[in-house]
Amino acid sequence: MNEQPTELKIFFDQPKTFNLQNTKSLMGLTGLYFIFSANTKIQYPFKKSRLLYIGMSEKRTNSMGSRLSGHFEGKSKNLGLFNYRKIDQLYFTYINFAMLRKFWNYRVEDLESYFILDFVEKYGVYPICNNKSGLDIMNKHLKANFEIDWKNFE
Amino acid sequence: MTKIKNLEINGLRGVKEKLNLNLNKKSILIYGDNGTGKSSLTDSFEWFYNNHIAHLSTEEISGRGRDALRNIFISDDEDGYVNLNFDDKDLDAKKSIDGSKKIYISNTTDYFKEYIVDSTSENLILRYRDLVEFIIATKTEKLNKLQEIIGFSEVAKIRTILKRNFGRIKRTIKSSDYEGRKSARQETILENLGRNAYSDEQLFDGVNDLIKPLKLKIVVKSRKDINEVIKEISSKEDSKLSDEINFYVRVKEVVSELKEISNTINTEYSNFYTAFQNLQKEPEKIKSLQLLALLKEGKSVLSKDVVEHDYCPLCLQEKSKVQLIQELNARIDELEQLAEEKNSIDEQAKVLKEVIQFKVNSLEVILKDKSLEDKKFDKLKEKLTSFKTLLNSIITELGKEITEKIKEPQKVNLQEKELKELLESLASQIKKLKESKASNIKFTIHTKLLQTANAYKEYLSLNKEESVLRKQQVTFELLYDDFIRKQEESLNIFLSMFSKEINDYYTTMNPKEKVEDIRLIPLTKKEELVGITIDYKFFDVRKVPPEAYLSESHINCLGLSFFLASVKAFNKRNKFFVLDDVISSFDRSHRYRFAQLLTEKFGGYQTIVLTHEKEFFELVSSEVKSKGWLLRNFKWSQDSGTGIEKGIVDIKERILKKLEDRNTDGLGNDIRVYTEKVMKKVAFELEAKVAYRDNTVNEKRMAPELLDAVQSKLKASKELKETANIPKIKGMPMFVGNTTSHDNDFQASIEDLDAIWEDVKKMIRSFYCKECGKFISTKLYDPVKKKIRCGCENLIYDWKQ
Repeated sequence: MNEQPTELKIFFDQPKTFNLQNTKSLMGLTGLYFIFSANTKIQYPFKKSRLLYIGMSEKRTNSMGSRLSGHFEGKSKNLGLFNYRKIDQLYFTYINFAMLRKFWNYRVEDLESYFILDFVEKYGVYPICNNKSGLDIMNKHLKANFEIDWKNFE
Repeated sequence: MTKIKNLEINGLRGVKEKLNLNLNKKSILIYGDNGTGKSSLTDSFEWFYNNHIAHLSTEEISGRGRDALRNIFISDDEDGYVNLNFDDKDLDAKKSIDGSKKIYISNTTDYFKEYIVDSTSENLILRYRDLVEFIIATKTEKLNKLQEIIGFSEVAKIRTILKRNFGRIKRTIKSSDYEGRKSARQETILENLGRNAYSDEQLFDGVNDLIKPLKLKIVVKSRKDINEVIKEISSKEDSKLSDEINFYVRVKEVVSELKEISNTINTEYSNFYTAFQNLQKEPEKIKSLQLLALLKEGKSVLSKDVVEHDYCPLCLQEKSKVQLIQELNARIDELEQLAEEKNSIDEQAKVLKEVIQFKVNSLEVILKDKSLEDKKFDKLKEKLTSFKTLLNSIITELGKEITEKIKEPQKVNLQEKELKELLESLASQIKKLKESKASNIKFTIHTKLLQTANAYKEYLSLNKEESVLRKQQVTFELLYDDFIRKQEESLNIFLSMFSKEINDYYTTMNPKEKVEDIRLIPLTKKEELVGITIDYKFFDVRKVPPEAYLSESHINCLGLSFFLASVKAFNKRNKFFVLDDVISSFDRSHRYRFAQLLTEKFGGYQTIVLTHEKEFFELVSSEVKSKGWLLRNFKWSQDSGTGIEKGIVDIKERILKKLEDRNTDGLGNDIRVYTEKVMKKVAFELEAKVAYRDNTVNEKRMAPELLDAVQSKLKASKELKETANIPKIKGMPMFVGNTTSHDNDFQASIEDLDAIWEDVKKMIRSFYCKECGKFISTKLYDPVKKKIRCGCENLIYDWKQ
């Protein structure tokens, strides 16, 4: 890793309405995406949050755009996202991996793990639609100093 | 809707002297041998409405056919003109062409101009050569033609514009690589500010944290405040170093963007290379692509009737023109599919070229920077130039013709490793320069702030630019999708109704022939409307296309049905249309049904039918005359050009005219034909028995046979037998003969013929009452008085049943 401050604050980009049209701008991009509701706050063990899902794309051919459109059209078979969309307006935001590559010497998959782990630490459990509850991705060995702006979803 | 009252043509095409047709809104059947100038009338109509004559608008005839419009025998100071009087007097107009080919129109009102504009898109004229044009056209041509006549051409143009704009914006967004460039700016902000920043609030918080060690009195609340801080903490002695760092940062951003997209460029070039190679595997086909323009031109030449007879204009071999056009269409279709494949590869190359060109431009901006003039940057300059050269060489490969050889992907591969190494070297330089003043907090903060402010400004600008383009893209996409949907809906409704009409007309002309349910079907490809085809049930099995299974006569019927359906569907201003020799390939039964179709289904229209088929003319004359049509005959003479042969249409008038003119030419034959015609009616009314004949032969019964049959029937009335005196008529020379001599005239003096005519008239008058216009008839037999009579009892005879 190159020169970097002791801690990096990670903010999220402006929310985009979760629809097919908006997913097109993320075609061909790798990184992390975050799906959240407009109003529904989920009571996580430690705090409430509107964040429902953290997703990842590691390949341009299966980009954030195609992953998001898969969720929208129900192809990903994520029932939670499908049903939350029925009761509330959903939004999404994303982090282009290109922006963090210099500060993250691991894979995108590891970055996703890092973000999920951080969320678990702050909120007590995985985002509700990530469909996981165990400790299988609790990788505590990755060194990073990101302070993630989870407040964005509160 | 408009009908024609009078038509006058002078000095146009074959018409030398004034040709006047007093139509008085009536339909007309015009007979004229080939070369009598029927088409002069059609051409004059076409010129009046379209200002050009399509079949004369060839390269050989300049001025959109105008040079061939004037009759060549009229003097230069005489105008050629067509003068049309309509039932709407305000539309009356005379269109003239003078010796210098200048055109004048007498009616200059906006009302008339509007009428002409509306009429241009209407179906007013159908010529034989255009009959099958639609039926054998390619699917794309069918679509274009239909779009043209239903006013969809403009709609199609808008659709194309929408698609083009949508495609252009999509390409611009792709080649601009907004996401990559925005990420590079956010990376710079993250590196310098310790956070990324998508909003002013996030930026200001970060800036205030950054400048805290300087203990300035300013709290940054706006972008203007940031500039104030930069100004306050900058020092002249550090500016050179600061500029150098900034230069490296800018280079780093450009290289970073290039690295981000290098994989895409390599992959897409590789895909292009594969597709290109595949297409090159069929060199013969590729070569034949160059023939496409020639084939299209050949088809255009044949369609415009530049070649009049059935032969190939290139090899001069005899060949049916329709068949030749069909074969050309098949080859054009095949080559167009290949051209489409090639277009798809070209499009792929075009998009990639734009992406690469954008990166070349960014490199050029950096390469023109004055900082690079310093020799210490020579290596960097060389590296950047090598990337630019490589990118330009990919652009060259992408622009190559399909017949050329292109470089393999590995030979123009953009090495990600090299880009990465350059980036690391640049980062190391920046770090080194910063560290040289690391102890100077003010300088460090100044550098970070300056880079952050620049990156954020650029980020906002890119975001705004992208947002505008994305909104445009969405708008065009929505418009386009909606457009396609609406267009398809409307077209399907229209095609279904239109097909019904075509089917109706076709089956009226061809009843019980096992061709049913004719439909026009839209063809789509990748959700795009690409053409229209015609299908139909043939012995209950769906077939397509018509030319594969139908005879020429049936294809012509289909073409005619299409035209007539178009007349009904689209002609909104004009209630008339011209059919020029359209029945040439029809057999007898089709011809008769065609006449019935016109009189029954188009009774409200003024129909102008021109034919060179005498048999057709005679076959349908009585049918159309009974429906109020006019009948005329065209003749051509060297002195007058095209004209109307007066009196010939009505045989009786013709006989009288010849007697008056003391003209024996064909007079005997005319008297015989007239007598046969009348005796048929007499035989029918008196139920005179003749031998059974087949339908077609029945029409050709000869006078002697009819006279015998009637004579035999007159046994019932001594009185009538004596008055009619049929044996006298039977003894006349023109009634002694057989079918083979039917058309042969006999030689007789005018005096003989005059006397014969008087006897014939006397005989006819014994059967036909001039007062009530009816023949004596067994239907009017009075069983009490035992008499037979005409309608008004002016003629009454004893009659023994």
